Amino acid sequence: MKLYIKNPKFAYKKIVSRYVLVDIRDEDQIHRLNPIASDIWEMCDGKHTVDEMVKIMSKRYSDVPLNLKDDIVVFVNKMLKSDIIKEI
Amino acid sequence: MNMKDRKNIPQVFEDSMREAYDNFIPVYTTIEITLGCNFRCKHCYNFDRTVSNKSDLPLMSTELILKTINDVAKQGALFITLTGGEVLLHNDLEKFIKEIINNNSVCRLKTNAFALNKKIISNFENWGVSTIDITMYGASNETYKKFCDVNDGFTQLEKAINYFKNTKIKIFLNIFIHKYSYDEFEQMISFAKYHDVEFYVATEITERYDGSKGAKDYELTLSERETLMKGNYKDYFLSKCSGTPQFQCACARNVCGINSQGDVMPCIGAPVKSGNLFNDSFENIWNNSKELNEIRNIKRSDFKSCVTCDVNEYCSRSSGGIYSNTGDYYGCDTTTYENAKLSKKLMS
Repeated sequence: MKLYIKNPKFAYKKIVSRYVLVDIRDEDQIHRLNPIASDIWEMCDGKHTVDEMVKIMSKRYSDVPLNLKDDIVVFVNKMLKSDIIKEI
Repeated sequence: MNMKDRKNIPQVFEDSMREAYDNFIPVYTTIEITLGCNFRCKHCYNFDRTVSNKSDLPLMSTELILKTINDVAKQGALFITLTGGEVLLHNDLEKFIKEIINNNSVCRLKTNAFALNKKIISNFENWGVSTIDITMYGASNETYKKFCDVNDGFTQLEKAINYFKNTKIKIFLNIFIHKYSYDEFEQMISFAKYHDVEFYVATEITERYDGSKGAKDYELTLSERETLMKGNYKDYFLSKCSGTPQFQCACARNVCGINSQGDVMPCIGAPVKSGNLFNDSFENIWNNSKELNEIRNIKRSDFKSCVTCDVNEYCSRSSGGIYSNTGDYYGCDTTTYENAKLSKKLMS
């Protein structure tokens, strides 16, 4: 199963409930994650697979969509494409 | 006089900055790591460098600065700027930069660029420095000598700018117009454009933080400021707000400053001492300081002279600068009023 880590080339801070990510190689590259995306981002710590993310999110939120796993996969792929996380 | 924003903040970021402003998260934190400097600028806001080096002041140790970096990052400092004095003179600059990066923050440095060389710049790039903010004091070695008491200052600046060209580090030139660089202003702008460097323009000079007099003697005269406001680059100097004029800035909200003696302040440009890191934690000072909370609770109506001012729509006041000049955070000073009045006259 695949695991993911945050790309260390991005600085990040949680501002209220959302993470803001800044590419330290180009400060104009800024990403702002919504609260759900922020939860998933936090789990990109080299310890959580997508299945584990699904389990945790299902427990944390009562109204998760039926296709939660698909949504997470799409988002993880988007983060990989944006280079903000890496697969290990 | 107004200072143009050095770049537009991406839209996606604005909402977060508003949240940080509303929730008092020190996203932009500046830490002064040294008072030592290789320049002797006439206007320096720290103290009169022509007569003293203030070597007797109790400065933060390397350990305390490292702890402070950790602590401000924990409170949400996404952008940490190291300033001085001259940051390049601190022996442990590398440690500080690495600590900032390890705390998942963006590292910015403010420097006069004099001590920069290829090796240092290459190290900065490897360590993860994002942005270097360089103050430009003139467009000739003569002006650097006269104002900063340094030989070959302009030559060194140009060398440094060229070294950066093959790196990913972003540089901003702070084009500083004072009594001696006034005649070189257009050359300074041309220099920035020629080297394709982003720049902003500043003319403010404040009284010194230690109370010694003389810094403002080097400020532009009213007539010089008017000439700039009518000149080819007038947009850098004229000011007019859209909507209702606001007088409060981001001080103590999403901005914080810490001086080299460990004083926590609402902004590095607003020397309102609000607690000291030698005897208290940053977390406690930031969240509970009487001075910071007082600033956070300021209402528009507290700026009594501003609310009724005849030129408030044209004003670009800086509470920190005004506090330095008058001791009144809520008030006004002569230069600020004159600039707003000139803007009104020339823009009406």
